[in-house]
Amino acid sequence: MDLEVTDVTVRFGGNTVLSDVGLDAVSGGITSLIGPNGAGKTTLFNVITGVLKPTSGRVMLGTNDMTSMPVHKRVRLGLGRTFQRLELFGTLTVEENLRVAASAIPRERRTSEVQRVIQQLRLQQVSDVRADTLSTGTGRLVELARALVGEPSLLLLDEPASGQNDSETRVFSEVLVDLADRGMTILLVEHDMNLVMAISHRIHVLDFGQLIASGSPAEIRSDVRVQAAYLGQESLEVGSGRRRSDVSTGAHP
Amino acid sequence: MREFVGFTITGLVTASIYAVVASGLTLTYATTGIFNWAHGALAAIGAFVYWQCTTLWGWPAPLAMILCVGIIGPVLGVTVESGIMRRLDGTNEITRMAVTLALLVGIIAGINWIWDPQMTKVVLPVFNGKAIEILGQRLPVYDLLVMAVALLVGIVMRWVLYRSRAGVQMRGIVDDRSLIILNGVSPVRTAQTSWVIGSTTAVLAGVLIAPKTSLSAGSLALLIMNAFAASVVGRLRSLPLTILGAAILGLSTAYAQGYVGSRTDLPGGQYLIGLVNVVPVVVLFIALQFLPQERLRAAKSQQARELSNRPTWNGSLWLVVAAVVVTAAIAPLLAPGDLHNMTKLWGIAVIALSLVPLLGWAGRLAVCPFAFAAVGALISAHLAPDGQIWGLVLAGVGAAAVGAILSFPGARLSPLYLALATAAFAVALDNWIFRLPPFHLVIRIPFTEVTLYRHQLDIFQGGSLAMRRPKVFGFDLSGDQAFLIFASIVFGASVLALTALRRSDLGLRMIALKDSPIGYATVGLNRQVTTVAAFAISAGVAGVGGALYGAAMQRPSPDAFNFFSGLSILVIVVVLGASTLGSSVGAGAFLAAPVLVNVFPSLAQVTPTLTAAAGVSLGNNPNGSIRSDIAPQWSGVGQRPLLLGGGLAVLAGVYLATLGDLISNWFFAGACVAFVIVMPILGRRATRALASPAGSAVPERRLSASPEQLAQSLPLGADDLSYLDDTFGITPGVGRGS
Amino acid sequence: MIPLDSLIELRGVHAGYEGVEVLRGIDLVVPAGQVLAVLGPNGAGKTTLLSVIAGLVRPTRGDVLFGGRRVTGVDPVALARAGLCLIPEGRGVFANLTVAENLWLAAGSDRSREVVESRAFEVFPRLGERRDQLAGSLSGGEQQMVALSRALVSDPAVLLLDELSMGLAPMVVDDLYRRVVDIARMGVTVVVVEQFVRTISHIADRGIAVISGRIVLDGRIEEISPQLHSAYFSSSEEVST
Repeated sequence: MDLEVTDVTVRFGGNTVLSDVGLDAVSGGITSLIGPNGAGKTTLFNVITGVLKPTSGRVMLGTNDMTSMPVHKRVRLGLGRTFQRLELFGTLTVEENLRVAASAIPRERRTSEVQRVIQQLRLQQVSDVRADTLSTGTGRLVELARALVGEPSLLLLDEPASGQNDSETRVFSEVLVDLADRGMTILLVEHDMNLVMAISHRIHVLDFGQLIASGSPAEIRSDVRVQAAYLGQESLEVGSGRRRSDVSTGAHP
Repeated sequence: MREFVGFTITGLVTASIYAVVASGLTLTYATTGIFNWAHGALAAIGAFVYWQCTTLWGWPAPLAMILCVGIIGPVLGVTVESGIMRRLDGTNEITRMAVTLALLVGIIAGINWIWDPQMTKVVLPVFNGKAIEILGQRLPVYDLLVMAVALLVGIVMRWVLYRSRAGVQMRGIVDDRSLIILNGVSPVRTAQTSWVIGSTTAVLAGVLIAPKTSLSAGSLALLIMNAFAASVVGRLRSLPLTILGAAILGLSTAYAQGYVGSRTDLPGGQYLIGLVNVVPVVVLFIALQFLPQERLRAAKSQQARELSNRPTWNGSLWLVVAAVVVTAAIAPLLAPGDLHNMTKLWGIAVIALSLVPLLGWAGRLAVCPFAFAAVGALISAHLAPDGQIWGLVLAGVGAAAVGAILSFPGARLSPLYLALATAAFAVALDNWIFRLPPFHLVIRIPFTEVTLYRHQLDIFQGGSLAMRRPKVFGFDLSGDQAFLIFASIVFGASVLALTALRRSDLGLRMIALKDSPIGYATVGLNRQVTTVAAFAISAGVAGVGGALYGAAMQRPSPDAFNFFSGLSILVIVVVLGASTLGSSVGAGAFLAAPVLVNVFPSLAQVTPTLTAAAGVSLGNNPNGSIRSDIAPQWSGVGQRPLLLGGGLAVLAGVYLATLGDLISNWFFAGACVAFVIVMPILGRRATRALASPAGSAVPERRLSASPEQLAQSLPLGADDLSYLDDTFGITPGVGRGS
Repeated sequence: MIPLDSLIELRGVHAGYEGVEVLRGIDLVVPAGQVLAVLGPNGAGKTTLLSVIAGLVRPTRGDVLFGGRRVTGVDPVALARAGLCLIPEGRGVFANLTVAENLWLAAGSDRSREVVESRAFEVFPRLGERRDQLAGSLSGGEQQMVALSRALVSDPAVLLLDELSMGLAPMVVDDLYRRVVDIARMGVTVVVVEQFVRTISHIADRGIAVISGRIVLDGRIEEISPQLHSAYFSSSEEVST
């Protein structure tokens, strides 16, 4: 199912954190959300997962309006997510972690579903290991596995590459590509540009709470606004006028 | 109108004391994150010391007051902070609460130890008998003094918080703990200051309240706990709202007392008199309903220090067999009086067992195990008056329902507020429900005279509940010995049921909820439902335990289910390990076995005091002593069946000799003690002897995970490296370069 | 004697959280009086670098030296008193305290409130007008002024700034950085973490780029800024070779 976010605005007090942000993520593709610190990525992520209610706007999954649903109902609709900081059930084993997730699906499918996910992510070796003794890289795979129990249609990943080494990131990205090929909708919030550029089909860029660009990795790489947002270099064409238009030439006052 | 003014003034006097208490409590919680359940106990210390000085030693009141407020209060604060609270870093909220609850139990036991609780203690107020006429009311000068002191406390506290550097630092720490460090302010010092203020206000409140009530440690602590409701109104953050809460509390109590409490002529008046005592409880419940939902927050960076291992079937079976066999073996040896006292043991153990799923697994705290137990006992007594065996089942089901209903409104709140709600529930039962006069329950079809159901309900049957011991399959269990063995079997069944629960999906879900609430919500599970389920299960087990406990006593009084005795159970369970099923046996043994009191009758308070002392030290060892101290001792024995069998055989021989009156009971007791001491030592010897001749490394040593995982992703620890070095014959140090 | 050529020094520092290694071998020497810009993409370890210097995060390996003395593992409270002033990311103010109270907390115990306030309000007159307002009710720029005032009134030896510009309009940012320049002129060593080169190109003497927990570029800011684009958008290995 496709995810569609329309005109989402979030205000905290007088502070506008997101203003009229709209984006979509289609099934069978990996969509990434990037932007500098403080751009509002986490806020948007929280709006989609249901941790935060937007001031206005709408979040749709397929034909279902999720805007004001509690977290566990969104999950039943097919939303799965991972966390920037691991949120595993630390004192349980990997298999038990997955069994807990499976208790939200019909009883007769539970055991087979847990086994399916363990096999899909090749976690057989660690299935009896306590989750809080895993390395972060493996922990991220387990968290992904937990989110995959019950075959969600939409997968939201919050900075999965942080804390992973290069080979772990490679394994992780292969899994993501494979999942997308099977028709899952994946939305990725990530700092690691290599990962984002390598596996995304489409990238949305947030800056100052506004969507400043959307496009393919190649388009984003060459987008002047994105470069400006990331490097602080402004080009004269930028439309919003919120930034002062001076090109950094290294001129000193 | 005159009446109204009078009640209002009385209410404001009460409110003043509540305001002093609650503002100190709020301040401590907001700055340190530790909710001090022992706040009322600190107040009791103040009241007793004041009584000692003025009444016994004849000191002038101002001098005694200066001693209490100027010295005792601050010293208590510093001691509590540096001796206990500072070590709680990195423990979870449940452990923190357990520690202050242990402190509460310990202080009350200590006070009863020092000052004979049987003795009536009266403190005369200063300016006794003097009064001033205000608005047509004669107002005792002492009451004016109380209000003046409260006002002064308010002004001083306001000044400290807004005009002194220490106060601004305290407010800063509430705002942002890490930023205060960057400002070069030590959070430890600030915490100490706030504990000093907290304990001083508590002691002051104790001194103020002393002349207004007869001194008893328990009831003083409870009286002060009423003020918790005011802190909840202030959401444990805001002092002005806390003071508003105190005003609501004081006035509503006074109006209830004045308009309802003294008038039996009102319809149902006799039932409402007791309600007056629990007005603060009602205020607390209402305030809880206005609290916002617990926010889902990502976990703290620290790894929790608490563990939760899964009980094995083997371990649980051992526990059950040991419980039943030992009970059956020891029962014939005991003197009738001791045996009778011990019949409570397994009832208490089952009640203690009820805390394991809630505290140890789901990570929620109910401080009222005895309240659920009382519900079970009442149901069993009223619905199965002839001791029918299904009375136990009904007790469990009924108590579970009560537990579910009680936790339902609070399930969305944080563990602290839920625990407060359970405390309020226990106090309401103690002070009101159990003391209700008999009433007639009549259900008839409306507008007709047809009666469907008529029952005269006398809840506690005028103070002692008649309970019959059951008959099972023709066995009469009314004798102490038979009943004790029956109770141990019920305990065994409960242990097995809980083992099954822990190993089931629901058990996993409870642990998962404790480990990561936000993760729990994200896999599509409803936190509230699981919380309510955990409460219902816990209450159900406690209900069964309560029915057993009541049947053991045969005529239990409401006092047998007293709130503080329940806290002792809680503290023992936490000390021994809240996630270990075996901790319940300890609770039963400590509280029901008469050994200590028999040997040292004058030291009835030793057991609770020692228990509380152990509880207070929980910060050092949050997983409880069974897992950290006892289990490692015995692991060597468990691995050597020959040794264990031999030891047990010797013990059995001694037992048979005792049974045959060849040797005295004391010899057998000595043999048991020797068994407990010697076996672990032999166990360690045997393990070492086995390991050394082979010349190999320690046998348990192995890799922390399979080699494939280690190669793929898991970090190699130092132990893994040295293991690999040994295995492959590499000289340590070579080939370990990065 | 304090060696002026290395007021802060990091030797082979590794650090991280919960087994996640964020810094992977940082060697850095900051001479007294320098204004150093730490650049790099999100998640590169810039904030952790500042936290290590301020003592909030203890390195898993390596050492931190301050004024030539080893301070690895020293209590951050002591470091703050010794003159390390870190203004954290976001707004480094106590939202529920007034402006005046924020300043009071910032100053050491030996200074009176009046002296502290007159000094801060001289530089930021706007704060004087808002003296009794809660810091949380101020605009983002004003909040950063309050945070910067802390550096003014506590007389630090080192000022560590973490993304002062985050979420602020460029004009406000420029104004704030002008104050930072003033502070630096008083002899304070400044380490600024920024994502944007432009914002600090005119104030920093030197820049380093941190990517994946390693320093990949180090030099005069105008030397390194042309290389930043490739550093950000391609892998760290390519840049470092």
